[in-house]
Amino acid sequence: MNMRSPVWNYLTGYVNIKAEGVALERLLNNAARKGVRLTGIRRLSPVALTARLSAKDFYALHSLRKGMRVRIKILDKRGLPFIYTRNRFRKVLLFGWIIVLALLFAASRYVWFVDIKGCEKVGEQEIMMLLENEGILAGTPQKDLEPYSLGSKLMQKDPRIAWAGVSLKGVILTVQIKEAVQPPVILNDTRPANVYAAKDALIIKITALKGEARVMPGDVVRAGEVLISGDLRTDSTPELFVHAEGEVIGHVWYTVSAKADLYENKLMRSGKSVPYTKIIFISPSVYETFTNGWDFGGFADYELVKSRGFELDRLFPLRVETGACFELVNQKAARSMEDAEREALAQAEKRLIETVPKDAVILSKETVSAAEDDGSIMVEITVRTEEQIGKTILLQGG
Amino acid sequence: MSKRRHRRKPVRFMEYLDLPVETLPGIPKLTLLGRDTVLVENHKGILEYNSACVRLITALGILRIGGADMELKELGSELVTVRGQVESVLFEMQ
Repeated sequence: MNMRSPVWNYLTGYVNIKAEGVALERLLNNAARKGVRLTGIRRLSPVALTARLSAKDFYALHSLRKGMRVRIKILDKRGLPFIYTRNRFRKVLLFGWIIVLALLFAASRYVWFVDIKGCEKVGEQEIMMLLENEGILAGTPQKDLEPYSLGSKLMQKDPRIAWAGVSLKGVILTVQIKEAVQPPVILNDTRPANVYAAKDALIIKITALKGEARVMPGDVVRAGEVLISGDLRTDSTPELFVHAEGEVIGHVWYTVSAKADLYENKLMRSGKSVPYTKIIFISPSVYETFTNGWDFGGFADYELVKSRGFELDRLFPLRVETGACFELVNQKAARSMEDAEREALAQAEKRLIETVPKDAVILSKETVSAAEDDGSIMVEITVRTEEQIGKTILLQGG
Repeated sequence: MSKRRHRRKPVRFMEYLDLPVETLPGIPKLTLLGRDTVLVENHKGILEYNSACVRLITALGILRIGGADMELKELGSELVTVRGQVESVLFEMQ
């Protein structure tokens, strides 16, 4: 197919025409014979059609219509040459475009964004600091960048980084890191110590790494009870103490409660009001004033209700508002049982989050709500968790 | 009838020599792309065109492309591309 692409058509310019007459097929045949390339021909009616052709071919077509009683009208002109013709005398616009293109070109020679991927233990800010130390930050010229050596430098600077790859895509510098697996910390504390229960719990699992386990799975322990003892003295070894270590997993129960009244304090209109007029210049954040002063009738809390306003935004950045300023006071408002229960539940949930350790696994949760004698609603949440309950404490004199 | 036989002689000759028939001058070549585009090479002009049909003059007679929303996507001296919902392509009986 010998068809010109839309991009090429746009670059060379084309016109959409409408031809009207009775011998349109003849016009098309003549045009084809003379090498006038018509595209997108659509029949609108028996006596009219639209077509597209290049600006150069238009004059040829125009001369072909003679003697055919066909009228040709340009519907629109499109393409770069027409845009140029329309704007060739608008030098400031042209200059503006040149400036914009030059700025875009200049801006594309710098790094504007730094994207860091693969951070889990190493903080993104730490990587940013390392990059800054190497002189890489938003606004750095791309010619100063050496992505390959930059990756190596990152690896050398931080031992937690096993591999770092730096790549530049457009104006975005992507730093991909792979963190090293840290070797486990070997504790070599020899001071005598016991592992105690940090809270009341039901023992599920106990693994004594050093010392002697004093409880078994299924035992119920109280806070402060010895779980793994570092005191291994026997008759034959009268002075044998170790630094007890181990993992003790237990089930722990937490209960939190919260209460909510059937009445709540709410800011409500007192009934007093004063009229106000507000003049806003540019935007409320820039300047605003009130014709009747700043005190709004001396109300501590108030609510502005706009009744009328007109804007001069198109001519001048000014807006005038009038309305009423209502005084708001704290009043007791009744609410439904459901609302009170919802609030109590929300408070209880908040307390629960504060109480339960973050590493604890919640196994079950029960919620009970009840109406109190004073008319309030009490919500109680009980959760059962599985967590580490051992706490190592040095022995006296150890 | 004898005229049609006469026209087929060069075609048979080309087939006998195992040469492509479309290289013969004047023989229209039709290409149907899916159901919406028909390319006709070696046409000799448009006889009629409206949104429901395009009738083209060819060396073998009048070729009628029927359908709906017909548009002449491109028109050249030898090639015409017709686009629309093509329903039929046939040579009219003379």
